[in-house]
Amino acid sequence: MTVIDGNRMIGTGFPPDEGVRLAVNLLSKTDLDWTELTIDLTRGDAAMLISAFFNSFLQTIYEQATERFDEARKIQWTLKYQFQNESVREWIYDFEPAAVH
Amino acid sequence: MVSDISEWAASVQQDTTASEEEVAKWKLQIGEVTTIGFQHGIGGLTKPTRLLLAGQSKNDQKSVQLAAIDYGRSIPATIATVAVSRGIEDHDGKRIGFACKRKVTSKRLPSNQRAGLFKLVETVKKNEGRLLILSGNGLFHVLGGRRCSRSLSSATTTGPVLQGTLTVLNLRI
Repeated sequence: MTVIDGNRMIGTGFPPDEGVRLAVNLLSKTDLDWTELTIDLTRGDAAMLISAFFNSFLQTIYEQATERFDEARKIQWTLKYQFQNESVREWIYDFEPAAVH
Repeated sequence: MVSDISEWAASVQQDTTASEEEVAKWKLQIGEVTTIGFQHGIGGLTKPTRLLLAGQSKNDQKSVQLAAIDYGRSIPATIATVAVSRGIEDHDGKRIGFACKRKVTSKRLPSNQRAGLFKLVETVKKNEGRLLILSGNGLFHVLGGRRCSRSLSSATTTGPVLQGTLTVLNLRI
């Protein structure tokens, strides 16, 4: 299993923009195996780790590397509190990518 | 935006008896709502506006307050198409109330919008707090667990009372 410190891959901007940044940074690591990947966000700010952050992360993966989208859905996330972990699981499960026009 | 909320939360954390986890929950909920507010703020504008936040905590009154304002399209305008399709045409206050209901969204994919306004209202009701949203020509208010809405339009006003959205939140700690 590979564990990545997600907080080092994002900034402090608008949450949807930071979700994009995380996706782009992850995609740039071309040798990274996503099949057993955990992203550790326990140091992340709760105000940052909202639905818009994860939705824009998944949407960016879908737009830039559609073939990796299913793997992205299976990424494990570690957050500080149980309510955050439960929320993220729900958001990831519910997410539907928007078609790119 | 995130740093503003964090500053507010740090100040709250100093005074409140609420746990760190509970304050983190408020941060998440406020993050959801202000992100929606910001998206209202940039909708229809050529240049994105900044979301302005102001907050404080009062330990002696056992309460925390947060105010957020943007100068964008407003909630009634953002939700207009969906509201009209559901027969919610009365006035802007009712449209804000409609936007605060579960599963109501202006987004193309409903599952991608996490009902931040609905969750905020639920939090306020559970906390016995207060919520006031002024947007366009409407006012929406949650007090004592009750939801109220009213129109602010007047014959002397040519434009909306507020071109944007002001959200004021008061929670008990």
